[in-house]
Amino acid sequence: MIIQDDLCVGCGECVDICPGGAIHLQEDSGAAQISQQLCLECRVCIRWDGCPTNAFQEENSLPWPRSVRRVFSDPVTTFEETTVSGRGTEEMKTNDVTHRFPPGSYGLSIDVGRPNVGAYLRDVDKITRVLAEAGADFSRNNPIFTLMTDPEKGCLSSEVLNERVLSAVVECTVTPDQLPDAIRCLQDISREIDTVFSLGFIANVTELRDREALHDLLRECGIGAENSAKINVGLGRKEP
Amino acid sequence: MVCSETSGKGEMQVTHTLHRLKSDLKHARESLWGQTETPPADYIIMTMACQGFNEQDSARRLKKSLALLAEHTPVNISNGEESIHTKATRKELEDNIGDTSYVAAVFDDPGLLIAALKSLAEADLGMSVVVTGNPDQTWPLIERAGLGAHTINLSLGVFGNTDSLPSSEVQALIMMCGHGLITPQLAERIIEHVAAGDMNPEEGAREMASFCTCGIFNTSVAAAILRHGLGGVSR
Ligand code: SF4
Ligand code: SF4
Repeated sequence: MIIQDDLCVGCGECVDICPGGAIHLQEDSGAAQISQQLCLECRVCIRWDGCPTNAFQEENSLPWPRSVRRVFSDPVTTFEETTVSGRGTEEMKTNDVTHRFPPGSYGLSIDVGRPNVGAYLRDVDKITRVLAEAGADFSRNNPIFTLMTDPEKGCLSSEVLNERVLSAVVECTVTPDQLPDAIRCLQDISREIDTVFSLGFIANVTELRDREALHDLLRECGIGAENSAKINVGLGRKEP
Repeated sequence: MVCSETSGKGEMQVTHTLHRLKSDLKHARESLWGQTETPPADYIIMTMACQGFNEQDSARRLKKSLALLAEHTPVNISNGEESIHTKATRKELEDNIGDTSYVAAVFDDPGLLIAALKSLAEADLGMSVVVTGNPDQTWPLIERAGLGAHTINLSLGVFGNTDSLPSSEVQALIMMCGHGLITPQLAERIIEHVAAGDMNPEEGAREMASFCTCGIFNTSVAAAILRHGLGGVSR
């Protein structure tokens, strides 16, 4: 994304709406400028109708590897391999149809850079590597999986490590035996990354004894749940 | 790897409704809303078909679910790419639904959530339905609608360099756009405008909601936070 110098009147209105913190006013000319290092290619600025002169201009197709910024940062950009936009898969939302998570298999969704901090993919790489060591099975339909050069080791392509994104979701399944180790690895690596991640725990609850059993399981892993959850209510069917 | 901008039709999207700071309703009621005013709830319903399984004819079924959900007066509703707060009309939302779209609606009242779920169950559209909210509230409400939980995704919180996060009040506002499209600076500016009387809380809430392309931003909760401050909102 760029700002056309000749159109910008330096009103500064756009500075606060940029999720990448990439827009600043130049001291000499007073015109706004976008730091290409910080810009996430999220397209918030071009969708926004607040620029009095429509000074924002974008490239229609971004060169590799910069193109990954848009895939992970603009929710209305679709990742064509999965037809899923942005940064994740349908994961548990359609589990009543896919049975991707059967009873006794758990999912973890690690939303790196969220909330609102952003992340370089080198931090995502640190997380996928420790999860691989813990035996996690990465979701194939997830955009992060396609960036892996060695899924067994969780290594991302070196070409993308310096790309900055608004957030990127790592999705994986773990067995009950692997769960405590995977959570401990995530807690440990959280102290070595230069960003944040929001963690989600996915479980098929059709055979759950009672709700407290979920909390007991997490407590045994040394972690607690927040008061927010997505619940699939089981109305999906395989045939339309 | 290939990416493309959506045309408004034909691509599936996934929102990020999970990690939101939730109002502790009981505490909020005691501390902020007094005896008579009930604090707004924060529940999201999403309906979607599943790629490779049951997406045939799903545009028609999604349009039906949009119509059903709209009847229960959601505070936000979307086709996954545009919402009533990004200036789309109901007709535009409907016209731009494709087989791989999804529909999301935000409710600020438990009774409306139950009624909306009952409508979807009766319509028997065969699509997956997901409810986001505080599970201590939503799980019993789902059961009161005659349904049960199949699969759950529980938020385990935020890890890492949490010093870089804004204040809880600002987080409670901006995390209602799961994609992070509302900046802390914008939220702070709107908080200041409302405090100065330059904008009323509803206008401030709608301005923030205009950045949330997925239409999952809860304008009732945002207006309450802008009006009363953070109060009962707790992690
Ligand atoms: S809003 Fe437009 S005119 Fe104003 S500073 Fe930004 S780019 Fe320049
Ligand atoms: S594309 Fe996004 S990150 Fe880049 S300047 Fe525009 S709003 Fe900021």
